[in-house]
Amino acid sequence: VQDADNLGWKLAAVLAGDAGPGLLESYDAERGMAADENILNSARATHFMTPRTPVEALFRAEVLRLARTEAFAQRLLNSGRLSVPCVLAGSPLVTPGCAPLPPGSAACDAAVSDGWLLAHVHRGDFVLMGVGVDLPAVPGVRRLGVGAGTGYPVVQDTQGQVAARYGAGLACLFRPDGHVAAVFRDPTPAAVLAARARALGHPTEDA
Amino acid sequence: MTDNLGPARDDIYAALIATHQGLTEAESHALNARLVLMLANALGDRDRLLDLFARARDQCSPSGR
Repeated sequence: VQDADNLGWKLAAVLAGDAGPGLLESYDAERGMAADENILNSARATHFMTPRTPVEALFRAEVLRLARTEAFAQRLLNSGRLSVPCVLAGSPLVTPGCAPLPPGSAACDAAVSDGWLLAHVHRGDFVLMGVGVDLPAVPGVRRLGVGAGTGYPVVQDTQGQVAARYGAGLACLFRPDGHVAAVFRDPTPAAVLAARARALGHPTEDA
Repeated sequence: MTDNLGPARDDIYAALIATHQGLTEAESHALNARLVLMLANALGDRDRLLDLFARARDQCSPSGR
């Protein structure tokens, strides 16, 4: 499914005449990253399932015991990792930046005033989300306000989850497949346009 | 390593030994494994943990393996 998501929006951009020369080549690079990450997680999951030494078995038993009450041990339980979307940091399509959910990550959900954040994000287009910041109008980019904004849809961060997961005062550009393409402290139209162009495989000016 | 145990060092050591009291050797090994995981979570710093793992490993006697 993630392969199809990754290819789908890129083909759509090519058909729409929106894609730069680097877009389809990036499919291979990004899926290669996902494969590397899956192979590492897969090897770790296999070791966890079938311990090779007594001490590995001992630690597994104690992780399982702790997982009954401890969140950190539950997250160590490895078998679920294969279904976690990969992080594409380092992809040529991703504009580097610093945020709780860094560029390249898959969007993560959060409760908002009218339901769930991902229902607003996953609509097959580029969407710029402002967490408590006003967003400029940018061609080819839908806007979504969280707690701030006029002239476009705004939801409320009723439980503070959006600010906690994405960073208060930051703007975040999502690709059509829901991965974070870029984050901005100051989302100027030029910066957003540049990040969108980069995400579509157009050459970057300063690279 | 810096000494972080402070004046409570003897209490801490005694409590560690007491925690194992009455356990079989297998139960003690399991308790130690649990403690390592819990202390790793409490420390929560990858680089410091990897450094500690390496230092502890360096203390293994050559005949041990």
